[in-house]
Amino acid sequence: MPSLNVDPAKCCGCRICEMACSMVHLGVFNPRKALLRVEINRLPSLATDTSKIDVPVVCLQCDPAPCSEACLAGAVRKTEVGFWMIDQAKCTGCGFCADVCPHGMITVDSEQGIARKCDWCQGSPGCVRYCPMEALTFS
Amino acid sequence: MFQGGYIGKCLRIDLTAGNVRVEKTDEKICRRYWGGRGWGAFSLLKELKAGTDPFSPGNKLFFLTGPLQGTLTPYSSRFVVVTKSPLTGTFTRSLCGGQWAPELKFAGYDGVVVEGRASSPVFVFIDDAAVQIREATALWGLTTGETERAIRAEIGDRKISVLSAGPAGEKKVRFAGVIHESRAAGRGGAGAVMGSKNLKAMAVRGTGSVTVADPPRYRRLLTEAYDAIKKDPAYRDRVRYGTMGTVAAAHAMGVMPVKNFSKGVFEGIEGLFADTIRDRMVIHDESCFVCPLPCGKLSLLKEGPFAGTVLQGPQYETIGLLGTNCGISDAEIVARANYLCNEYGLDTISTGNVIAYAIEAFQKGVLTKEDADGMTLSFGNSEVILSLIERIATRTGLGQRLAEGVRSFSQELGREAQRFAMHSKGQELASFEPRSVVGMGLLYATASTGANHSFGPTFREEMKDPLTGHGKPKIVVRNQNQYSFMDSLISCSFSRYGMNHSSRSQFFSAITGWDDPLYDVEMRANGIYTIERLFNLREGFQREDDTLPPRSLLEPMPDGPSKGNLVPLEEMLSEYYELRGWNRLGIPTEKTLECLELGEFKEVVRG
Repeated sequence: MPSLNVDPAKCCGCRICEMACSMVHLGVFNPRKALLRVEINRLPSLATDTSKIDVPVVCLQCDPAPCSEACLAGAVRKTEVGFWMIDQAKCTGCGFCADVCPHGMITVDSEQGIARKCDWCQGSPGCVRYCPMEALTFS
Repeated sequence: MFQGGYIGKCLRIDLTAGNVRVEKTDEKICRRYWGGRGWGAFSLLKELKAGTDPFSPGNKLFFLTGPLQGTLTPYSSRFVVVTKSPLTGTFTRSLCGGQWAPELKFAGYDGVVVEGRASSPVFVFIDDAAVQIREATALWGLTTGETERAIRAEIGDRKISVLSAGPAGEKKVRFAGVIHESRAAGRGGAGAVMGSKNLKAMAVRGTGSVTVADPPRYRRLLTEAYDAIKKDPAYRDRVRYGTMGTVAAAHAMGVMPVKNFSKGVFEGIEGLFADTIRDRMVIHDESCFVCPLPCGKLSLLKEGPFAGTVLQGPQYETIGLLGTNCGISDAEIVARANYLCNEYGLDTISTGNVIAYAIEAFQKGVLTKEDADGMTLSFGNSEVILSLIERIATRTGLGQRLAEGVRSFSQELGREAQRFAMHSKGQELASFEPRSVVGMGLLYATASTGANHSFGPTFREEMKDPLTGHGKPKIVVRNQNQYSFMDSLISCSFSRYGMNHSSRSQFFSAITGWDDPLYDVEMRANGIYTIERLFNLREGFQREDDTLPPRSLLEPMPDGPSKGNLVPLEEMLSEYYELRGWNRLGIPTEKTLECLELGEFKEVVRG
C-alpha cells in the first residue's frame, strides 16, 4: 500500500509543499488553501526535541476515518490505492468532515461549496516532487 | 495591464495624518524597473525633496516586493526597504528574507510606503483589506523577538508576519536595522528611520492568492530550476554551512577583516570555522519562504554563561565583523553578540566595525578610559564587546557617541583618528578586506550607499587575481548591475545556485506575461544604478566621496597572502566612470541619461 511519509528532522520549514499543493490543485499560489501545512517552531529551548522544529502535517489516512464517518452524503470514501478521497459530485460543502478532522487537514471552499482534502495528487504528489529536503516522500 | 505576479495595489500610510490610502501600483515603473529596488530608487528620487533630514517626517520608507514574491519561484522570499540613510545621507536599500514579503502579497499589496511621523508609538497591522494604525506604547522598549511575540499574542494569531525596529531603532542609532524573525534588513539605518517615525512594527496577515500569467510555462521553468539546483555541485555545501562556509577560504586569502582591518591573519580562526560552529551550536537548517536552500542555521547555545540563547546562527559577515574584526575567536561569544544585535535591532556589520574602531582608538590613546566609561578596551575582550553592544543600542555612555557611526565618531576624535576609520560615505566596511580583494574595494567606493558588499560582490570572480585592479571595473559594473536586477525582481543572491540571468528573466516573463527582458536587463539595471547616483549627487556627494579609508589606500597590508598590497582605487575609478558613461567627476553625462531614458532628471546633473 503506498503512503505519504513525513520526516520532520529533514524539514527546513520552507513551505514549498504548501505552495506546490495550492499550485497543483487550484492553479494559484496560496498557502492557506494547501491541503497540508508545516508547523513551525523556531523558538526551541534546551529541552526541545530538535528533530521536531519544522513539522509537516499531512493527512494520516486514519482508519476508521472520522471525516468519512461524519459525512452525511457518503462523499468520503477510500480508494483502491489506499487514500481517503472526497467525491466532489456528492460533496455538499457542509464542512462536517473538516470539523471532525483531528489534524485540520480538510479545507472547505465556500465559493465552490465543496470540501477538499489531500488525494496524493492521484499518485504523484506535488508536495513530494518539490520538497528540496526529502522531508516528504511517497512510497 | 498586470497579468500576474504583481497585485496591482499598494499602500501609502501617512503617520502624521494617521490615514491609509490604497494606490495603484505604477505599471510603467514595473515594466521599466521590475519592482523592488528599482521601483524604490525611482520613487525616492521623485518623491523626496533634496536635503531632507533622514529623521524628519519628510523622509519615507518604501517596503516593497517585486513580481516574484508570493509565487513558488525559488529564492523569492525577500522584501526590500528603501529610504534615505541616516548613517550615510545617501540612498539606501536593504533586503530581508523570511515570510513577510509573500504575506504582504497574499494580503493584496505589492508594497507599503510610510511617510510622516506618528505623535506616539504605533504599529501597522495589515489584515487583508483592513489596515490599521494601532497604538504601540506597550511595545516601545521591547526587543524585536519580544515585539513579534507580543503582536501575535495581541492579535491572537501565531502565524502573523512581523517586522520591527528594536530598542536601537527607537533610540535612532544610525545603523539600526529592521528585523523579521531574526533575519535582518540590517544595513543603512532603516530601523532608525522607523524609530524616528514612532513606527515600532508592521504586521501582516494575508489570505488571498497570487497568480502567474502563464502557468504551463511557469511550471516548466520550475522543473528546470529544481533540476538545476539539485545538480549544482556547490549546493549541498551551502545547505550544510550557509554563508559561514566562506570563512576558511576568505581567511586563507587574507580577506577576513582582522582587528579593525589592520591585518589579514587571525590567530584562532579555527574557532570560527563552519565545522566548529556547526558542531557547537547549530541544531537545525531553516529556510525562508519557498527557498530550497536552507542557509539559516538555527542555533542554541548549550552550555556556559549564555546557555539557552537561541538565534539564527552567525553568518559570514557577522563572524567577520563581530569575530575576527573584534579579535574574538570564540564562536559562542560571536553568537551571543549576534543575538544581542538581533534583539536590539542593530546591524551586526556596522556594530562590529564601530566597536573595533573604538578599541583601536583606545589603544592609540585617542580615546581615554574615562571616555570608555571606565573600561579598558582591548581586542578579544568579550565582556567589553558585549557591553559595548548594549551601550550602543541604549545610547548609554560611550555608546551615545558610537551610535552615530564610525564616520561621525572619528570626526570627533580628530584628523589623525580618521585615518583608521573604516567606512566609505559613512557606511562601515563589510567583511571583505579590500587590500586582499581590490575589486571589492572599488565596489565599496562606488556602491550607492557606501561600503556595502551586497551591491554586487566580486569576491568569487576575483579569486584568480585578487590583488590587481586589472579588469576589475568591468567586473564591478557587471555585478552591480546584476544585483540591481536581482534586487528588483526580488531574487536572493543565492539564486546563483541553479539559476542565472536567463532563467530569472524567463521566470519574470512567465509570471508577468510581459516580454522576456534579457536583452535589455543590462541597460535597465544600469538605469537603476544611475538613478541612485542621481539621488546622491543631488544630496551633494561627489567624486571625492567615492573613496576608501586611508588605511586601505596608503597602509600596505602587513601580513598574509596580500602582504604589501594596497587598493589601486584611482586607476580603477576612472575606468569605472567611463564604463558607466559618467564624466571624470563621476557625474552621468546628459547623453548617458538620454540613452537610459532618464532625460527628465537632467537638472540634477546640471547642478
